[in-house]
Amino acid sequence: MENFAFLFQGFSVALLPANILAALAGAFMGIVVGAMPGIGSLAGCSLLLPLTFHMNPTTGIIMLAGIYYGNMYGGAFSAILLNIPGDAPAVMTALDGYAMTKKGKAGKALFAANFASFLGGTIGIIILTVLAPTLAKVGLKFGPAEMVSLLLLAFCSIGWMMGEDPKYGLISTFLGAMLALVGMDPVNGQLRFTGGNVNLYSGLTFIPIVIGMFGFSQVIEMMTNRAEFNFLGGEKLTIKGSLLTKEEIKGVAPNAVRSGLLGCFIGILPGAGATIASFLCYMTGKKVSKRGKDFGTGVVQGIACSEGANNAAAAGAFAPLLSLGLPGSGTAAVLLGGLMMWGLQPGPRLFTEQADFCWGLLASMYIGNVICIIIAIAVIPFLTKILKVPAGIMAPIIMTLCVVGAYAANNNIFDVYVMIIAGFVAYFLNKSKYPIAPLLLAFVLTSTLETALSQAFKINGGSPSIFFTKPISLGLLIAMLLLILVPVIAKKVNPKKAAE
Amino acid sequence: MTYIVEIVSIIAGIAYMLTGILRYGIWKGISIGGGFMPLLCGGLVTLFSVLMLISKIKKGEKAEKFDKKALIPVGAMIAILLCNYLVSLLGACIVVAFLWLKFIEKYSVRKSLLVSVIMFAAVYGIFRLWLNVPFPEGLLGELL
Amino acid sequence: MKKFLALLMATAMTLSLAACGSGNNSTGSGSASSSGAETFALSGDVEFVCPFSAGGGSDLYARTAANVMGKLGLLGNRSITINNKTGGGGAVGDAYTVTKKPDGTTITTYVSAQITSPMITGNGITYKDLTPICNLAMDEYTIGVLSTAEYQTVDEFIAYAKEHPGKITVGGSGSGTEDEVCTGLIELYCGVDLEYIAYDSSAEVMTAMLGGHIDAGIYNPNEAISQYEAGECTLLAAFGPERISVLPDVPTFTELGYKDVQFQQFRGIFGPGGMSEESVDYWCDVFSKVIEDEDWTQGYLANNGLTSKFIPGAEFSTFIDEEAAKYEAVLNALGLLAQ
Repeated sequence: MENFAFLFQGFSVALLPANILAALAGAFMGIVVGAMPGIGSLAGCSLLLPLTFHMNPTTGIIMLAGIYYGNMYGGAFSAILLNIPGDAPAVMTALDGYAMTKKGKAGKALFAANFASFLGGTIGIIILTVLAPTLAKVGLKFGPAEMVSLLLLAFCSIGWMMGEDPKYGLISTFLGAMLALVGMDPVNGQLRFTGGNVNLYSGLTFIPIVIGMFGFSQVIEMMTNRAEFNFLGGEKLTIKGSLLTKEEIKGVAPNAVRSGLLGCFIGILPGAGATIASFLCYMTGKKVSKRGKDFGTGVVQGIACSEGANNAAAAGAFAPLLSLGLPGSGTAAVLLGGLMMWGLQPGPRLFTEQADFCWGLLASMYIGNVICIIIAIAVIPFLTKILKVPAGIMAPIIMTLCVVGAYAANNNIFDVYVMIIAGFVAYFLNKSKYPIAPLLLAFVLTSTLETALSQAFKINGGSPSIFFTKPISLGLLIAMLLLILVPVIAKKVNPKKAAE
Repeated sequence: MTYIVEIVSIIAGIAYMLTGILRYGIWKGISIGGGFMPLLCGGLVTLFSVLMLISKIKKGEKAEKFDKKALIPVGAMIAILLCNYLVSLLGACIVVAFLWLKFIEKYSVRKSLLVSVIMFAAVYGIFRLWLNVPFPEGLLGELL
Repeated sequence: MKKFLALLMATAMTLSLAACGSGNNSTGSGSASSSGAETFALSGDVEFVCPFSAGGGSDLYARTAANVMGKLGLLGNRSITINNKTGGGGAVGDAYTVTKKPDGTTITTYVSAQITSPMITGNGITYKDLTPICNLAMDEYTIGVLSTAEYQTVDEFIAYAKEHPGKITVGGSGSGTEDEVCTGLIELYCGVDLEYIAYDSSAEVMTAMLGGHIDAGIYNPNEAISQYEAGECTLLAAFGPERISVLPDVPTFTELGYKDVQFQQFRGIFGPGGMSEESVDYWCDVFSKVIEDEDWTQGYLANNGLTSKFIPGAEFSTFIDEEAAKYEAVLNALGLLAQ
């Protein structure tokens, strides 16, 4: 009960007018920066963090929470409106989000994304409030062997479930993995496939590739297939037409809640984070949801799965941060830097010794989340105006955003070259019916897989037995086998039904 | 053109496998070497691409013809990169966007100019002034 | 309702603008000129290259220094902008810095990783292609184990490792990094065989150790201090020549009799190759004022467990040569040197 007393005290402080204003400003800037292609939540948070240094601690922390959530919301905006995901977790949002935009339902897509983000975020924070210390301890048990099995499961499911034939998804997945192997080997420190180019030493950067493969390839598409972009420059989207119908809310809510629960747990795992959460939840949704078959063609359910999951995971990443002092994601690490400026001493004793601080922070996260959805909904009418711009003007504008975004990722002109090549390659992949999302997700996760694989072998003295003797790892591997075998067996046993 | 992705994938996959085995080594001490993942990923890409190639040939699939218009945006990008050395990166973007609007999309000079200037102002304001991204300034920047 | 929303938006925007203004000022210039080197004047605004990403150790170092310069107005009417040129363990940033004019308007952060990166890859810009300006601080390293482990001192740890050759796993962040060099020093000079395991970040090393997946880890003081104080982990020893100020109870390898196991990471400032003596003196003078400010000593050094060590100009040049030789020897022994 004491916890809740602290929480209420936190609320009473967070609800002072000055603090609400700070949260508003933080959320607004977070959304703007998060929506910029090439910036993303990690860079966004580190760029905006210094703004809070001049405030008093409470206001600063509340603004920080606004910035953090704003970044999460903003990433979905450019994914839905321009088909340029701001960061890796938003890739899955772009699949259904942009498909909806193409159908003239951008407003609905944005509402669905915000509503799902809000539900996912709220679930994440509630789990965090009640269970943070316990969960973080469970997360510790998750070692390299478990991580390898989880990633193998993830790889198989992305490959297997995208595209009309599993081969398309699998080839795309492993092409992404091959691209990720360029640069310095994370285990042995040797250079691979760099051709002596200094810019490739630390590997290809994700942001230019995603901007090229989604944004620039779409500019090419706009030139070759102008008829498909007639939705641009059309009639004005009204707020009324953008509101979700009862049926759509019924489609969003259960998916967002399920993804929120699952996503929060994945977010707690060290190093796994929002990316794995968003696509595993999307895949689960595809299997479980009634409209699973239509995922990827522009349904609110797909958006709900991805957005619900990544916002919950963002909250989940706070569990190890608060209860153990270990940041679970890059963005959480930047935030930790900010919190330490305010006298937070992260560590196992945080919840007992600085309870008021912790609960105050959680209270500001609740407030941040509420404020973000208010602002996000307020800006939707302005954002959808973007779609009134005809394709002829849109094409050069997106092209410029691609150049600027790719450059801003590392302040390096080399990344602009990477972006252009990636866009051109993606154009060919699209034409040959290969899905792009598996390539990008595999690209992000391959180095984690390689590191974890090597760690597992080293810890176990060189024998692969570790993958089968640890129960969680074994369970994940069995799940993977089932995933691969069940459709194959179903086909053999009952060829007619499987074909439907 | 129909099989371009599969053929390129097979060549890249084999190259990865060979480099993995011969140059980086697949096993080191008690754990994986630098060549393990290239061998694994290259191998899987090659395997699935061959399977894909076979099924595509069986079905006799034909891809749509390559549209030459796809080269326009690529050409525009190369123009931006070349202009970057003269008039700075953002300058190059505004020049190319203007030319694109004027000559490819056939808008009037006034409208083209208006759009590219507004776009430039927005990008400059957000990325350069607010977020402090140091863009390359080119020869023009050196002179100023 | 609409009006209310519009009002909200307007307020948020005004506030964000105001906040931006103050944010820029902190990294911008002051008005009072107070630099001591009269013979030298900056010919333009300063670009402070940081070859590592925003939010990392070098970034924090650069931003703190730039903020102090702005606050004290050390650069007269010139401003200083931080440029994160990330990639290649510092190689991309160095390759950029080397192309800039050596007129004092470009400086870069420099840590030992930038010396070792070209040694390991056999390619890229070496420290000889750049001008050393000064050193500001030293990063400390410690080795930690679980407080429930059966070895709680360095001697016990080494005895245990000798009984179980190749079975003791030591985690650290990155491959070919300072953390691996530290592990290598113990192997070389204590005669044991350890298994070094690379992680993506120190937080992950600590997570893996607390979860019981690895036996020991290499940490910077600020990465381990909270777990140490909470009694979750035992810090066996520090690698520096003297005890770390924030960890006065942790002995050093040197005082325990392992004289050769000694390591600190320097954090210095470099410029493009061929800078004039005047411009180097100018920057030494500026930085000598930075390191006396409270934001630096308290806000940066103390909070992050760093040791202050100012080495200017020519002395720094000799220091770097010695450091480079040391790294080369250790990397060679570990088999990490490029052929």
